[in-house]
Amino acid sequence: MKVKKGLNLFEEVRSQGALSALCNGRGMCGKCKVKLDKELPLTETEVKLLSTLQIKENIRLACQHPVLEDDVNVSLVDKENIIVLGLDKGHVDVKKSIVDLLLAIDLGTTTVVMVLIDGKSGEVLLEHKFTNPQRTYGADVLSRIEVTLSNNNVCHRLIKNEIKKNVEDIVARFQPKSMSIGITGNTTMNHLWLNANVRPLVQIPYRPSVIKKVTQSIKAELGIDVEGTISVYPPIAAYLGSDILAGMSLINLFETRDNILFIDLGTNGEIVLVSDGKLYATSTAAGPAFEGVNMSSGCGAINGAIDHFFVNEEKINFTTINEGSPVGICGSGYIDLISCLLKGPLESSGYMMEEVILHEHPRISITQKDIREFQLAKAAIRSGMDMCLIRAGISYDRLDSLIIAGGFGKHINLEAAINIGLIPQQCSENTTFIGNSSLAGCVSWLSEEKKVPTQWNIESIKVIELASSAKWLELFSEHMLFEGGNV
Amino acid sequence: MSHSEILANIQEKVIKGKIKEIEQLCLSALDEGLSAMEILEGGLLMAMQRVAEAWKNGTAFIPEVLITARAMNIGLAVLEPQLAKGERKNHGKVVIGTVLDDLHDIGKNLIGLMLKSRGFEIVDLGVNVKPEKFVDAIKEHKPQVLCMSALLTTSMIHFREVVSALEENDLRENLLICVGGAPVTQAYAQQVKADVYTPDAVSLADLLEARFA
Repeated sequence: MKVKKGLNLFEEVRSQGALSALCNGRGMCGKCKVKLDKELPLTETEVKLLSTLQIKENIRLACQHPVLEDDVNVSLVDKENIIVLGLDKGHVDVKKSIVDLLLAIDLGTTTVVMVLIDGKSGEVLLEHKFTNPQRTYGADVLSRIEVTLSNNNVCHRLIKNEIKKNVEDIVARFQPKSMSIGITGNTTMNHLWLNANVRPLVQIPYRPSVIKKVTQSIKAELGIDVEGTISVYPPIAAYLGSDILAGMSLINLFETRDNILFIDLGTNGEIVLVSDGKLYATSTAAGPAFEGVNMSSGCGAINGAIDHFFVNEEKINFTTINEGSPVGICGSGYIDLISCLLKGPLESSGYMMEEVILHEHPRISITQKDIREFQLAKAAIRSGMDMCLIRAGISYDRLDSLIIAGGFGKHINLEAAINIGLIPQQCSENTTFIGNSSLAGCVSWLSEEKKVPTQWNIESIKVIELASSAKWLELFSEHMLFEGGNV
Repeated sequence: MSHSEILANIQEKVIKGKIKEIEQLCLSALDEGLSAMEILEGGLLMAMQRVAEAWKNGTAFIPEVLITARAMNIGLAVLEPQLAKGERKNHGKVVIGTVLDDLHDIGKNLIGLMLKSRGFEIVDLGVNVKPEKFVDAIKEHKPQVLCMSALLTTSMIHFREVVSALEENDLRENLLICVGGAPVTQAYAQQVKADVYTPDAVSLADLLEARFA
């Protein structure tokens, strides 16, 4: 694309919705790289965040050029290529379905995943995963909310356009007469989709504006000529979305007599405990480290992502997704890697003398800063788990099972997760990984295999607020260490 | 081991968060003839200082600060009974709190930790603090400094209300008001009539130490 002299490079490229900008243009993340057809003057930030080679190749950070001195031709660098993964192709029970197609969509802060199912046969027709286009307005929900509060509904428009495009493609390809669409996601994503007021999400007492299921018409909402509705499923609380609710529904947490701890490892880690029939839930800002974001060699679960590390003859070896040539490290890879490094240069405090290089061309490595980022994520999740158990007054021995969901959740090495202190030792025998439970739960609601929990069900969940608790800070600090600490 | 080696060892263990060893090391340092004050200043607080310095320079990160703070507090609990009354330095009293409509407390807690390790007495009002509560605390504790934190653009507007309330109660004059948090800037601090803004907790501790120590 061409950007004219005098314009703001960052805003121009970002308005196309294709730019990664985790820090929202504050010159901190170094992700908004663009390649230019001529040399622009360098800023100090660019010298710090770009390599000499990149600078030579006229790669610059878009956010560093608010007023262009010359017309330029811009191409994007760092564009992520995400493939479908984590869902088992198969068959869904659609006895109760009366439409031609079912489309379940999980709106994640970082990634959007959708699955299309034949309403008559139950066959899974299509799976698709893409980066949430809102990411250009920051990596976390707070920055999306801030943008929206400045009287700008761009986040709403970006996601709506992207979904509309996808549904148009599906309709063109499969020619359905009728269709049911279901949307799950965290509460912020839910509100941004509905263009609902997000202010209450950041104002005490942090209540969602929307607490019920909203049904929209596909025709009216997307302007696509197909009979049917979009079900936007209800959130639990401001920081507990329909995504975790869908997972709870899927694994029958509302009916169980067992003690079950259920975790959805996302940018916002959501944690639910059912103990003696009572439900407790909390969410914790884990950050996107488990999704490979904000890590120097991090990537999503894409072709060539390193998903496992192991030590063989005192050397660190790895495997990649689909045996592609290595491009970076995804979340499950980091859990393994840190566990491996603890046998060598990494101390339990997280201190590491120097960067560890794992592969050359392209260089894949882990730095001290990556470890620190990971510590924050790990400590956030584990301290949230502990807080739920403390509130219910039980210990990890009393758990019948620990269930872990997440886009990459099926691929975690349990032994490594215990070794780094993410999962307690007591759960070594009864932990299961179930993949993307938000999407699977969304499918089960759409096909009416499971019922959407009632308002009464949802209100019975005790929401635990972590931020104001001194005990939580103590646990958060304790779990910074890579040790198997227990309640 | 010489006394300085003992202290260096304690520093290392504090920074690495080896809490089990810290308790033992503090006790054996006392046996070796070091005073509780020497262990506190040369071991525990020095460790915190080193990490804080590195954090400010961008070579250390929040996990290390929290790990060190936790270990420091555990050491402090061991030494506390041995510290003679009035022996610890006290540069003055600081009231801290996160403003109304805001539950974020990590930034505020880091301020508390940094100032405590530099010898200030901290009165922590917690999060979501109403202007009246700030006023009451200033009346009651008569601090030299008030530090307010806000992490949201929607909550930082409350700085101004607190400053006004303090002015109305004639409590503004001998009080140094500091504000901070991710959305806060120097210009915004001036706009709300605060005295001090720093971009991070360590710079604030440096500034207050230079002023009051």
